[in-house]
Amino acid sequence: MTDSDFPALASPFSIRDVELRNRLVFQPHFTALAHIDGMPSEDLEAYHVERARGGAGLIVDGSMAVMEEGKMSRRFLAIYDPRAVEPYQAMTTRVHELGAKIFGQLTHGGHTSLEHPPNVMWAPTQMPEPSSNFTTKAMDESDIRRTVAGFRQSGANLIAAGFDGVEVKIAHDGLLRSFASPFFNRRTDRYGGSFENRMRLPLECLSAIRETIGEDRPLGVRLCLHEYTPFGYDLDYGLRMAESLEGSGLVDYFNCDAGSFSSFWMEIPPAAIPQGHFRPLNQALKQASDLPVVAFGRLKQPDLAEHMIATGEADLIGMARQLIADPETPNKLLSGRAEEIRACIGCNDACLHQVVQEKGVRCVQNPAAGRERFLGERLLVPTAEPRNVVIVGGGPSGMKVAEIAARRGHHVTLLEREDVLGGQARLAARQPLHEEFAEVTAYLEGALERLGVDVWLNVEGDAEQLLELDADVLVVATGSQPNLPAERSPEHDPDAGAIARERGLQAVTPIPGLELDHVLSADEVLRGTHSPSGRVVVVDGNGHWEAAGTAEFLADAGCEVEVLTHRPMVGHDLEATNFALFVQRAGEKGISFSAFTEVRAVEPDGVRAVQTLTGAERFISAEAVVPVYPRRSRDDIYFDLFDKLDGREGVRLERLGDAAAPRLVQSVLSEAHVFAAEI
Amino acid sequence: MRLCVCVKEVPSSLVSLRLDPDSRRLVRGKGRLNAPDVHALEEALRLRDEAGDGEVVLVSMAPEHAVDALRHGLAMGADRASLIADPALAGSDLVVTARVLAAALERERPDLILFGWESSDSGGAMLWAAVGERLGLPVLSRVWELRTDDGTVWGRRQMEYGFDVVQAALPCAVAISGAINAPRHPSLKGLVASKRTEVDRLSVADLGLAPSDVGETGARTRVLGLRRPPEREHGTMIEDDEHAAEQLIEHLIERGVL
Amino acid sequence: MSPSTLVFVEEREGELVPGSLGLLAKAAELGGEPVALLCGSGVRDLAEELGNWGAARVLVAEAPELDGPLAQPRVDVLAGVLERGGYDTVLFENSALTADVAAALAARLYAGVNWDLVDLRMEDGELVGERLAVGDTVLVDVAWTGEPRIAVVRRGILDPSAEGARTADIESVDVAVDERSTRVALVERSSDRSQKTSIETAEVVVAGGRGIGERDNLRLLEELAEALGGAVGVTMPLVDRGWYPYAHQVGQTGHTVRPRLYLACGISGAVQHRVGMEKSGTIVAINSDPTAPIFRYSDVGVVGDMLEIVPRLTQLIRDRGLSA
Repeated sequence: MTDSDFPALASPFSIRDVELRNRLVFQPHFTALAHIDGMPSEDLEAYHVERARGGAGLIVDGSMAVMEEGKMSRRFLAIYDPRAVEPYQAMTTRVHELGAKIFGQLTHGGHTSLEHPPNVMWAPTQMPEPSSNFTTKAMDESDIRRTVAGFRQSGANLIAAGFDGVEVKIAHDGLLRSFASPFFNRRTDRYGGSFENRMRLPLECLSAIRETIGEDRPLGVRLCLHEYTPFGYDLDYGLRMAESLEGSGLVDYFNCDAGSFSSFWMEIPPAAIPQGHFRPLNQALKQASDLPVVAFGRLKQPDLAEHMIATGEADLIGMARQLIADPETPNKLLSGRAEEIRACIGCNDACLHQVVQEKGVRCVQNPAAGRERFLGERLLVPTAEPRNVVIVGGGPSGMKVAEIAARRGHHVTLLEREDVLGGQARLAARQPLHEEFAEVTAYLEGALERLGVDVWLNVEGDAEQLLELDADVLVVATGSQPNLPAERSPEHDPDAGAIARERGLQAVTPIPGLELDHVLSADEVLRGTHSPSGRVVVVDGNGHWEAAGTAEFLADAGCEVEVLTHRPMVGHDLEATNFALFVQRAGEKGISFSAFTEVRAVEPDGVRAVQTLTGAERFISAEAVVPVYPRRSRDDIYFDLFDKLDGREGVRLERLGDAAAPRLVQSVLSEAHVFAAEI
Repeated sequence: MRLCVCVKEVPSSLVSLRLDPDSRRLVRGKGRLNAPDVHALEEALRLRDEAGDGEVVLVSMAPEHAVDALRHGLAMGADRASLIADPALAGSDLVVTARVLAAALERERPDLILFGWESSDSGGAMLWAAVGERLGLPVLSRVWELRTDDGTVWGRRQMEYGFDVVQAALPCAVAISGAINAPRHPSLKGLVASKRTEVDRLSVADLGLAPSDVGETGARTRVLGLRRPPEREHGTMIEDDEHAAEQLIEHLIERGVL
Repeated sequence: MSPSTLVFVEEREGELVPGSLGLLAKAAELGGEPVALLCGSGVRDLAEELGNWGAARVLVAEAPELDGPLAQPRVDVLAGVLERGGYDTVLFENSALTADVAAALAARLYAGVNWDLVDLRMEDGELVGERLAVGDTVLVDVAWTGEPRIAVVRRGILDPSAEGARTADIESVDVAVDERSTRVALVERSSDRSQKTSIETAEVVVAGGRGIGERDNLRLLEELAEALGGAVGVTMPLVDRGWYPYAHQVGQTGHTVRPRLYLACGISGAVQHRVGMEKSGTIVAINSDPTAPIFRYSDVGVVGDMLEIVPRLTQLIRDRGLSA
């Protein structure tokens, strides 16, 4: 019974002299956890140590610049600087103690930058990367010599810092791919003009590193196999690059990659790109090459990963976001606890969205991501004094409080008025291509069951009855409701904000006509209790998926959808990869957008709207109107309890999640974790 | 009328169910009432409410942590609960379980004993017959529809070929089929009440049994060992090349399925 | 030492249940001469057939009390036969009737019963049963302490074999049914198959999962089910979305089905679903993802788009007048 369910993933693998304990690789990525001067921080150390502790076979630390001019962000690691060696030694030592191996990935940012405005960007030929407004500096021979020297010095620093191997990025951003690219490289000197010349700089850099690190250390390439742009190169060219790199004898393994800044949704594909989408690229490289291949691209399903290794599709499985969401993924997979894995939901809302703003990496599913020194299940302190914790509301907030409180040994009772747990997360998962959002509550449901939380479904009660449960801690996590007039609330989901409104603590959206019958909330649409047809106006007063995804849901159901927003764009706060794909789909689905447009009044056959910049009014006819404004808390039960407790000693009353302030699930889960960690 | 409902606690999904390789016993995490048993309880509550008086008693042989699951039954409206939780019971098999439950039921002298059809954590669908036999009671099993009237109980019984109707006089043991009814939800009021209802604890000694009558010594079966099942032989795979439907039909005819 | 095995052969609607005939072959494999016990009323002609399936001897118990499929009179017969000695093992194939008979017999004799067995074997002179547990992810070897050993085999596992065909000796056994065992009366018998097919009793279940994509596509499943005279099953997510009633939900939180033919269309096959259908006779899976776990426990797997394949199947079945 001890043999693993995932024998292929569990098997060791060697690259040169470095033996990896299993096939799971923490892929390199930008964490923005470095100090402002590019030195590795304690946060970065804790981040990687956590993944080593979680059982990863190999960690590749990324975003290491080979020279000052190669930093895409002030938070890139300055590995070219010998001062980085010492702080890194502590990290590599800890990682090794925990049984993992660690490589460093070297890059030069080249024509791409995350800074606004960017510093000078280097390129083979002066031209902007097409997604940018800023052009580049064309490099001269001296720049090239400095670049090669930077790779050499950085490689030496990595080895001095205790890294087991070096990876060079010829991938979705950076200088080396732009040199290899026939589109970006128009040079006529020995670094351009022919395929061999375009490959010269990458090979010179690899050669310089090989000289300094010696023959035994692994040297690999993260290789963009397909740029997915109309002007860029495709898989055939990517394989030709691989052939050249392999033929040089300098490279020990390939780590697959795709996309570019101009197709960045393929670099870090969100949930709308199917899992395993890039398998054909991995397979093609694996077939063409004799070198070990690390597979990439939204790999999180254990069965799929096992299949890929077992059938020889790849030698190693690369995961970045899955290991951000659950650092323990490898341990769970390899010890028969696969069902305990907390899956990445592919939202990009906290990892990618944060780091492109040069803020430290975060994760919706894992509140501890990027904060490993302070948060996380491992750091929870068992309670010396088990308390009776009663939670009202089984949405993400209530479930997360229940999970963390139960982990610490409290007696937890969770009450939910519906016959299933999950709250709004269930509705969110019904939006097109959002199925994986259900992983948020699926994980929590499994955890509550394993932890023996006493869950009561279909119970709704008043404050009197709740007080009779003799709770020491009473958490109100009753969520929120669409901000429509109270009388608009459906019977199964009655209004729950009357007390707050009476006290002037909550206000209803002040637009005439919202009480009309053809006004539907996004909840009603997604729940399927109302299925409008014909022309539907969706009002995006929210900026995130609530309006955008509902508009898509309606378009899929055959409606002709127009989305109005007072902001410059519908879905204005969507993370960029999600936004790009949303706009593509909206075009395909015939959804029209009106920006800078506010609703003045809803009328029986449409809405009266105003252009916010010009003040021009127009009437938009519609058979149904779906207004999505910031939601209202469902907080009656909280205020009722508050009044009844009247400061009673010994009972802690708290409102959490949307019941306190409606917002995105990332903030809700983080709040719940932090709260429950301290009860 | 006194109705006893035999219930067990099962994990709410297979997630928390595993076999302990050392003791070779099924380790059930804390769970909830076996879903078919909830249907049996609903049936008991209905009969009690229709009769206008009577008492519904939950009887369970389970580890101490099952008390929370029993509270759910109390919150639905059961009047009392008896939990036979005794470390000596570990390793009991079907005949031991029947012996213990029968001893507990004998103390209650119920008119009707109800069981859910099948527990979701094992394929066993037999316990009621053994309990009925020990108590010398008639047994109606796989009942899809249940009526009682003046000391008689009728059951519509689901068989392989359709439905039979069977009848017996009370007292009687009845095992009901899965989704015979839509169980009521516990109310918060019921929850509050259930937290205040004492669950009776019975030990093996309370039932007049010796420790050697139960557990592994009382059992007449034993577990020799656990293994990983051989990979199911890979079935025939058909890649769809426009003719998959035709190929599938041929396979099914060949297998004698069509 | 080989066991002396008594095989309980079930008669249903005037026919011998095939799986219980399969027990005769299994008994022969375990060693010794299998003896069949056939209970009923007017079943003597059927008893003649049992030699064809390997019975060395057939005990026939005939009595009016044994006419209907009621357990307790049969327990009396079995207890009587066992009391007279000569048998250390009793085999049943699981059914509505035999489950009750086996359990009550065990309680009456205080004998060990192992059920849901998928196989039996002799190991160092000891009878060992094999049972699958925890969603069939663990195989448990079980044994008995003391005799008789009562074994109930999972339905549909054993096939009859004519290999050991012979002419069986047929003996009548005296039937003494206790008054206590006649207190259940069969009021009405039904073999009406025209009732709305319940998925738990259907011979064919056509089931759909997330892979069906849109609600409207459920129609494709309904059409195929109709063509095959079966019922539609769905996975939890579909019920969860309100696309289909709970009565049709297959799986851990839904219903357990054991049809002769189970067609899983667009179902990935998580363990929660698996436990609800794995005991089906023939399992066919249609899924576009070749790595879907469902293929690991399917008899026939089709990699392709169910939205194209299912309608073609329906058409072919109708055109060729096929039935399950």
